[in-house]
Amino acid sequence: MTSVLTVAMLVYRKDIAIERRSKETLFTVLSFGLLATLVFALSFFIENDVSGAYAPGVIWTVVLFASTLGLQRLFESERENDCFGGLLLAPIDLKGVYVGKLLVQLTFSGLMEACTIPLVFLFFDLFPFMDAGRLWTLLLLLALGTLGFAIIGTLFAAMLLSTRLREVLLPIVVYPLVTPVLIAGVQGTRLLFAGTESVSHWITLIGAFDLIYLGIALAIFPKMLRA
Amino acid sequence: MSDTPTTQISTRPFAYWAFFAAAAGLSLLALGWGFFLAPVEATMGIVQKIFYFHVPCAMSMQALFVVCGLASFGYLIKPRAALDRLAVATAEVGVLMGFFALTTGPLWARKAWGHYWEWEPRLTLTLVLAFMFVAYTALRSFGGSDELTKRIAAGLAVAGIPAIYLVRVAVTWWRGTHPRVVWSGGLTDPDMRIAFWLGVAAIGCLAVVLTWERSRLEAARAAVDELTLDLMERDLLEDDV
Amino acid sequence: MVQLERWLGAKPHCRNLWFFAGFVTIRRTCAVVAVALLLGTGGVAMAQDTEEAPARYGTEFEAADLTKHKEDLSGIPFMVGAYMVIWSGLFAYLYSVRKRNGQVSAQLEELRAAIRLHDKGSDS
Repeated sequence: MTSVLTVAMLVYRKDIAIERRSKETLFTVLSFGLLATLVFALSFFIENDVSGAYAPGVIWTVVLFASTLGLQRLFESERENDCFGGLLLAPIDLKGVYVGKLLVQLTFSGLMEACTIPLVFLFFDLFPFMDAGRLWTLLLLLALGTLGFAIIGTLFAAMLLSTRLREVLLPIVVYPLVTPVLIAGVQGTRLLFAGTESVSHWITLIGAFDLIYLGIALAIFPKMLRA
Repeated sequence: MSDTPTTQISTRPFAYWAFFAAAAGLSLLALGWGFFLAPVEATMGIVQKIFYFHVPCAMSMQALFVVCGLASFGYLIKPRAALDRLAVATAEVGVLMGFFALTTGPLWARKAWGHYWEWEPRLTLTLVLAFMFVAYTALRSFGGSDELTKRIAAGLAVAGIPAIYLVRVAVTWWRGTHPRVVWSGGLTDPDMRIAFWLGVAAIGCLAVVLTWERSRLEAARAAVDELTLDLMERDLLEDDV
Repeated sequence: MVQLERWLGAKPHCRNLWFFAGFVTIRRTCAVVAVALLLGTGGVAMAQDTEEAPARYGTEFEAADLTKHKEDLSGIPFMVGAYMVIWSGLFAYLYSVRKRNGQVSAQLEELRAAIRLHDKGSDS
């Protein structure tokens, strides 16, 4: 048995290599993220001085929706020609496959956020609401939240791979489960824009969510797929 | 070879009819007590009588979801068909109860709080929980009836258990509080107490009956699948001969 | 139209008169009446919904003292609506599960009969 991290790195490198040639997923996620930002800005922008109240919702909705689109494509290369079956048959620890795919999803989400969130700042004119210290807190909040979405999303994207209607079922299954992250993220970001320095309780909540679900995912991922 | 024992669908046993009779009797009793014996509430007026069935529905929803989570956990450890049937049935009846709680709640809230809806912790928690188990039932209805889907659904129900706690924390930090009446001794009138607990008993028995009926349906469906496969195998054997 | 009739569950033999014979059944009438009552009570409740009720979170329910003031009956449409939702919903659900149960049981009997026939055929 190869170790979990070796498997994870192999899966990660394989997916990134495929992506560097096709650039399909990155194009999908990025273009959707940017367009969603544009649509939300056109819908919700009211006045410069109140945009701090609206922008948190926009940031987190864009992140959630665009990562869902990434999740839909996350196991696409495995679905074709039933490569996932091969992966299940291989003498490896399946936790590694999960961790590798989680890293792939985090890479795409991170790149997408790096492009869309500056754009939200620009469109909603958020720079007066922020300073350097709170920006770091916001980045931590976003990183933990993205991790939370990815943990739940990767787990069920793999599970629903062979299911009919998986494009519809994935958000139906994932969104109710990630509501704590969404609430914590939006409220924490709103507090930051309102000038609060410390949002540690919301960060703790998302952190606890990430830890609990990473544990659950690693425990049940191999059990559910290989029985 | 005739029917294998697993394909037999049992007739409804005595216990089922006992629960059925209890549900019917207690419902009538609770309705009567709530309408005729329990007094009208001082500030909210007659609309408070929704309470005698609204709260039992919410309670049985939570109980059914906990049973669903436990049964699913058991199914992941040791896959037994009965546990899976129980999980499906409790999830579906739980969604029904959640629907009742979420529709009667706003009707009451309009009179008591002045709004149909408020983003208030218990309400939000109930809504998110109901959505979670709508996802479970959707997965079971549209995902197919194979072993993998059953395990995935079980995983979803198990994952839902810590989410209940986390959502609770999130919404409590986010918003104010729901009236807590029962456990803080707020039911001052004895007839109100009796009507309420009769309502809890009635809805509880009803939930048992509905779950039972629903899991019988699941057993019958599994038997149909099994027999269909059986028949197909026989046809294939015959073709080979 | 045939598609619609099939969807509505009309009997094929009364297709010409489907809106007299096939379409109006006791079950459907009951369903229509129940839905109309549900929507009706909701509508009445909304229509009566003019006053602003006091926003307050009660933690204690007290019996009204009927010797001092009349009981407040203004919430009746809301209460009736709530009870209608619960009881019509419960009966509808129980009915639908029993119906599905009956259908699946019939299917099961058919399959058993087919297997029995099959076994007899292959034995002889």
